[in-house]
Amino acid sequence: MHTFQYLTEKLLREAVPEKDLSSELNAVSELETFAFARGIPTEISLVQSNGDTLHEGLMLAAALEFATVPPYLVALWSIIDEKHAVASSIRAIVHEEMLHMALINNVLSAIGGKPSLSQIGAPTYPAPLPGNVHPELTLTLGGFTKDSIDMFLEIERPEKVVVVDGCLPPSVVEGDTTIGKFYEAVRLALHARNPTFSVKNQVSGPLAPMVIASWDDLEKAFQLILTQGEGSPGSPLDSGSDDLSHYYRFLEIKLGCRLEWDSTNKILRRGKPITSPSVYPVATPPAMGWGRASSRRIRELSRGFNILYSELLDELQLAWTTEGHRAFLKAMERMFGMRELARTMIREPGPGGYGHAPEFRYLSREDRL
Amino acid sequence: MTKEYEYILVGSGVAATMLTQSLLETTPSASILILEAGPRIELRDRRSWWDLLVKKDETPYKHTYDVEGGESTFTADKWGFYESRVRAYGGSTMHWGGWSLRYLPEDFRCFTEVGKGADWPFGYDELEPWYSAAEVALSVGGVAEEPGPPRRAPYPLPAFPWTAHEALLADAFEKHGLVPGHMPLARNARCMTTGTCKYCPIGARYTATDHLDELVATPAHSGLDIRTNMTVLNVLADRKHAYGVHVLDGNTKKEETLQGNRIVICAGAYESPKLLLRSISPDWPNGLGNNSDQVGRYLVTHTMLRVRGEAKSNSEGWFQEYDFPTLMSRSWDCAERARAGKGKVFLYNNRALPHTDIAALFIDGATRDKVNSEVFGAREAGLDAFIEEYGEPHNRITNGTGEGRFGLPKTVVEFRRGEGVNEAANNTLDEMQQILVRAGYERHSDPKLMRQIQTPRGDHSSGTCRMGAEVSTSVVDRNLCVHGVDNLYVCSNAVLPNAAAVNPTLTLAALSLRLGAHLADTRP
Amino acid sequence: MSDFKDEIIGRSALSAPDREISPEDMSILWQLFEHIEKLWFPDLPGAAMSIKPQWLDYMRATVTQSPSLLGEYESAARVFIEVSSSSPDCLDELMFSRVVHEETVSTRLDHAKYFVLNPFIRVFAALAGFKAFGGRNFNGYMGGSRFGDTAPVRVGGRV
Repeated sequence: MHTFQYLTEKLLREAVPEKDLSSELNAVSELETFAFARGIPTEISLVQSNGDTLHEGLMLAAALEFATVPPYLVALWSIIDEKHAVASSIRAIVHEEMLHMALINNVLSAIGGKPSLSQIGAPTYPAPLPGNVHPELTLTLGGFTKDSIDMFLEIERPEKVVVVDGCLPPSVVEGDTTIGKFYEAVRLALHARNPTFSVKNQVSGPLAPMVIASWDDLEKAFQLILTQGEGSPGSPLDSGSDDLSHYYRFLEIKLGCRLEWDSTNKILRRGKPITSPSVYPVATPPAMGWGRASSRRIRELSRGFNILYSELLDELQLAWTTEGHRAFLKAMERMFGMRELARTMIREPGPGGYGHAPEFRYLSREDRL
Repeated sequence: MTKEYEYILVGSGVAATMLTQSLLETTPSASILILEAGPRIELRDRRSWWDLLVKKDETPYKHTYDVEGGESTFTADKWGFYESRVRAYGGSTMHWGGWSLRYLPEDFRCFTEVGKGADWPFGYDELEPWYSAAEVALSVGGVAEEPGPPRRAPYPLPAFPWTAHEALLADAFEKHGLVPGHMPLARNARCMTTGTCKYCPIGARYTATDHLDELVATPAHSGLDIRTNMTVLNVLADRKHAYGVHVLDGNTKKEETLQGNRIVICAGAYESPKLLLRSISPDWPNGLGNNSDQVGRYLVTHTMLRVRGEAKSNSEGWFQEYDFPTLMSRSWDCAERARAGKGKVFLYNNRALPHTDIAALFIDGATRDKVNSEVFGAREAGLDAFIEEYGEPHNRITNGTGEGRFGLPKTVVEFRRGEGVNEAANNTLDEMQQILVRAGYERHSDPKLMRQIQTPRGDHSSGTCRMGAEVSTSVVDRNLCVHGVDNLYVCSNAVLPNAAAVNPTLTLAALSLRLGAHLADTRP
Repeated sequence: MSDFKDEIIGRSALSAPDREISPEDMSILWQLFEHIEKLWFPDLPGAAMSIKPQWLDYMRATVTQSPSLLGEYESAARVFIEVSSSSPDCLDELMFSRVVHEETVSTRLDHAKYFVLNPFIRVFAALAGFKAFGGRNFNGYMGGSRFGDTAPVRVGGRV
């Protein structure tokens, strides 16, 4: 399994061998050199790759969407009033990430690949993002705090951030690569490969409303993923919608006010204030998990949660391989089962009055018995 | 050699389930045996779900319904049996709609307020915290601010929004002086409004089957045992004490005796009294707990009132989107109305209307244009209501001669509608029709559909082992203990002293949780 | 010699042969399902494809679980081949708009409509077709939870 940087380069080379890609390649190989110099790995050997770069890349992309969700969920589940505007905002973001993951898995399935979420999309937290994207970032399950929101902003930060009136533009982190370049490489590689799309092992339903059956569908899917996450070029909005992309929604939460897009002056203006939600503070899980040092109730809830999470990942895997729609429904059931247990854990005060964040730990079948 | 269980529960519906949860909370390893006469039926089976979608009413549990005129008969006024109860692991919550409303404080003082029916041996305040606990267990969503009984905590979950059509009806409710509200529904967070509630594909509607499975799967519950296809023939007791049950194992066709320290009959409003009545012994010649001849009496149910209206145009193209009503009102649910002869009434939207069976039109050869004109053409709307009736001693359930399904004796209902009910019902129907007129509807052209007082049905039957302080006029005491027997309890709708105007299940769940706490606290 | 489609086989569902459904038959049945969109819902292009995963689940449930409809599917596929080669212009009228009730099911053509196409129409209408009339939800369709930003049903001025 390789890093995004490496895969991007490889895909570009595969897709357009004749074209002079020196500027793109330079940028990418500069990053490689830079990463090397910093001791950042270009390879992550977690998964046996089938050697197909495109499959590998898509698996990694799906893993990336999926791995960012647990920190968002712990923040969401810590909010007391489920109907609070901030809770709705984070929930909408989670739904969109799940949608992106489903779309990427549909693309992967369409070209005969098999997803592998449990191996790369389910890290043990705290963890870096899969694929070495944003290597300076660590994903933690800290609930809804100022630090968490800053982390979310970093995860979602687009290549070019639109300026907010009255705010300093964020500093650019060197050596960064965004997912946008990667998707561009995937598009080029797909066009070069010109596959027929198979719908047989794709999934549709709530949180996965689109099946990839044509180039049109593919373009729409990538457009959706990119603009919902990062916004359109030069604009903070999803294309074809008035919604802000994820980065700016988190920015609203951080700044404590709505942001309105002034398309004439190409700037975001501060709007109505958003109240800060009341939250339960949570403690992140210990490195070895909520074990004997915790109360029996927490141990049982935590284990129950991990089992459901593991089943969820297995069912999602089955949905895109052999079992189809019925496995997807089973996955959805588990998602909501997890929510119940997690909310109970978060509301159960431990040392210092802090609640307990769920571990999101994948257990093998033997470990679940 | 015969094992003695701490608890034997007869029946595996929501009452037994809540009771079991409550008992296990105090003593996780308590030895509890649950005996269910019916079979286990799988939930979330894909073929069963597709069959329901393709052929309406095709549910995998319909073979457990009573056979009208066969195993279940009536001797006086017509009584509906079919589709009223599910005899299977998990009971009637396999098919229920999940409407979860609390009784009002005045419902606990029914006789005092209205001069009919009976008062409860305790008040609303005592049951209130159990109502909260039951709402959590059933995952009820609602709007706490709406008029209703007093509550200290919000609902566990939010309500579902009214449809556009219900918003129209809500306006009409207000014009008629009613406060429109949101139906409290037992749907957990995963509900995706699939609209096949009778057999939810993702377990979003509370079903005791899932709840029991969870309790069984918990490792700490080492003493919990559930056996299906086990019919309890009679309860064995001496003068003051029940010591076991005599059962027929439907799997082996063999009879056996099982011993229990405490026995709780959770067998619904039909089977609970039937079981007591046939548990005859020299100490109890008229049936167990029946020396005052109260068992099986005071049978009462909710009669449904229905009105329908027609409008010539459906330019909005509205049709069925939910499988539950969200619009309801409790403004007529008051003792004052009952005293005035208009009936204590719970009013709600007919969830199935407006309705277009789009598939049926194409199946019957319609062109798309024809279907368009049907969808956007005439539109029907309906309002339904439950009206409270009052228990009377001559209305009763008894055992018939011979066996019905699942080894259970046949059921005989003797029911006569009380005085004044028809008049109150007709007054209410008049007003319901007026509301539809206010919403822009004309009376339905089919007189049979325009207004109906439906045949009373078993779904909400209650009262047949009613609670009371007086031995001469009740069967169980305030703790659901059968008068005269120190360790025998009834935990089903049978114990409700009155029907009120709303669905009984939430109240039953609250009573079951309360009983579990009482039993745990008074463990011998 | 009468056509395969006109063979009288009675009212009961055909028994299921002990074999798996062939890819060729699946392909034909998919064409039949997709044709519902072309015939009656030209304003919903791609609707059938968007619910293909659910259709596949329906097919799997009705073939692998009892009572299997495999016998009906194989018969319907052959009826389709016959009709589309001998009278392709009559496909819609013969197979899709044909009215068949439980009491009048008789020929293989009737069986194809009653046991295969009628359920296909129900599946399509419930999972996709209703949207053509402006609906947001329908019995059988997962419109969404009550927590999302958009209501799972069409709402009015007050919710």
